[in-house]
Amino acid sequence: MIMPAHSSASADAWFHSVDGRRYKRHFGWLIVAKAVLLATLYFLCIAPQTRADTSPDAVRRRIVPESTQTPATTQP
Amino acid sequence: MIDADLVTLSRLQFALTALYHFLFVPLTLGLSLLLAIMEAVYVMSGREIWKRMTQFWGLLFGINFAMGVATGVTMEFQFGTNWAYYSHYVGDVFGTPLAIEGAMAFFLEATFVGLFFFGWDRMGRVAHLVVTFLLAIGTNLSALWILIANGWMQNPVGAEFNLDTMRMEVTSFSAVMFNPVAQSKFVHTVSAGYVLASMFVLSISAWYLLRGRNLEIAKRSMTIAASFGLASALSVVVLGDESGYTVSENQKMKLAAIEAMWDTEPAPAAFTLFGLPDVAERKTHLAIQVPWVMGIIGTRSLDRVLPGINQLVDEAEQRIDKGRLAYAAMLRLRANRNDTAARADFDAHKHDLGYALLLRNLVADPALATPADIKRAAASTIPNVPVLFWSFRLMVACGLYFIALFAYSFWLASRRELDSRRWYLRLALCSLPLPWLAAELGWIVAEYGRQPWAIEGILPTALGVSSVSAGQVLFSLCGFVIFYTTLAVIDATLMVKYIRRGPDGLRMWPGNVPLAPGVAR
Repeated sequence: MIMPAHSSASADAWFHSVDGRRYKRHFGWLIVAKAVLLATLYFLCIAPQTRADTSPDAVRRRIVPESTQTPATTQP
Repeated sequence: MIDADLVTLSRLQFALTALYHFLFVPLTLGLSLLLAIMEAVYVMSGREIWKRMTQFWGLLFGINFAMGVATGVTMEFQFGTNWAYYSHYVGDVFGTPLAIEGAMAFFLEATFVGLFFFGWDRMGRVAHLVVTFLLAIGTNLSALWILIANGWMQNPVGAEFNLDTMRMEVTSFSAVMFNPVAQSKFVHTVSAGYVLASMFVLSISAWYLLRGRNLEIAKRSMTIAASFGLASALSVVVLGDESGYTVSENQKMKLAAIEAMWDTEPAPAAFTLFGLPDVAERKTHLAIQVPWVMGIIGTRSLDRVLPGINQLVDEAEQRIDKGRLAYAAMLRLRANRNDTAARADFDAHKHDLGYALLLRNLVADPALATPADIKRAAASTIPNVPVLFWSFRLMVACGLYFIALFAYSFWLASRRELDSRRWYLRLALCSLPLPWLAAELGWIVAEYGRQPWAIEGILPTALGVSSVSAGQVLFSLCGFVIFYTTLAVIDATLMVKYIRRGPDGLRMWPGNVPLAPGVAR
């Protein structure tokens, strides 16, 4: 059986064919599903959580806890 | 003291996310370049089949790209939620490359992905080829910026601790950018991506040949994959060796752990081909060693010594002592900015401040640490030796196998015998998961081997976690697992669907049916 040649014009038009349109639809749905999942993840798992205190004081306390805020009197 | 469960869960969440994200990244890196090569052949030869090949592999590239982008975003969520102190401590350095990467990934790559798919009938041949090359360049450049950020975590150059803001700040952006560790990691990682993409094309094409479908496209694809894959697999080994050399320069403990080298050996050190590392006894049982190899790889010399784990622990103990001096001077300086003696003490020992912070895992105040605490903190600088030892060896074994497989494929392609041996086609198909395994093992060696540091020698991982509860992290971890499982199912379904249909089923190319006479393929 001899198939008709795929001309350059028909090659360009693949994305306009049934299969090409289906791929574009899948691609679009993929992006939508991803965005919805990401938003769900953010609103369910991340947004309701207590935010970490990252004020300059809190960061200082992380490295130098309250008990050692005064200068050390002896050398280690 | 820091909540150990919180640290473990935060690390687990980041590791799972990074490992999952890294399933997509290398395929995007490599496939974008393979598409550019295929399209270049089309533009130069004018043969229609090369255009259809570019379009077909481009469909799979599109699915992978769309999935990969989302999985990286969640890692950036975590910098804010789980690693708030890390982000504050190193944000001045880490933020810039990350922002540039974001701009490259979202603007440059996304723009060219759009033009690649929808520009076939709107642009000339050469213009479209330029777009495909720019897509490949953009994809690879975004990897460069991520690896510059990661390279800084392994080798923190071009930044200093600021006593006023209590965080690291950039002193030389060019030093951060041209960090030798970042550069060697970049070339090693992207070439691993090229190997992975070549295997992807080779394996799927082998499947078509086994099924007797899409013979023309499959053979041409395999030829491209074999030659590009061979060059890339050889590059991975050479560039991985360079990466190993940079590790020996600034992450001596990681290298000693990879080698399970408990004690310093006379130069040049032997390479342990096989052995059973025993952490309790600090010994490697049944070791089979190849003389000289490790010393030559690690130092590029015959007389430089590579330190063993025990000696590095002793060194860490000394650095913790010096770090405590810097810590005490820091407290004095914070009370009185004009204390010149404290300034001199701090400047003399500031490079060891991070080692004193290791004590914060054990005691609230490093000044009150006992000698036993210091010994424990020094011992905590040893990463998980058996995991690193075996991960590295499995990764290297995979790398050597890829060279052999691609070399054989290249030989078959040059003799036009790619479809002559069914065992070879089955082997090529079964090899599909191996580059992913090697890439994940590489990540484990690089990042798990960095422990207990988030930033090597500067910030212990435990100090970087947010002040949230372990329960919160566990809750979001469950959310991430559900999110990623859903994405994995969608991705696998779409990939398998398009691969099964193939160029013939998608009516992109007429399978094994000959074209009308006189038509150039």
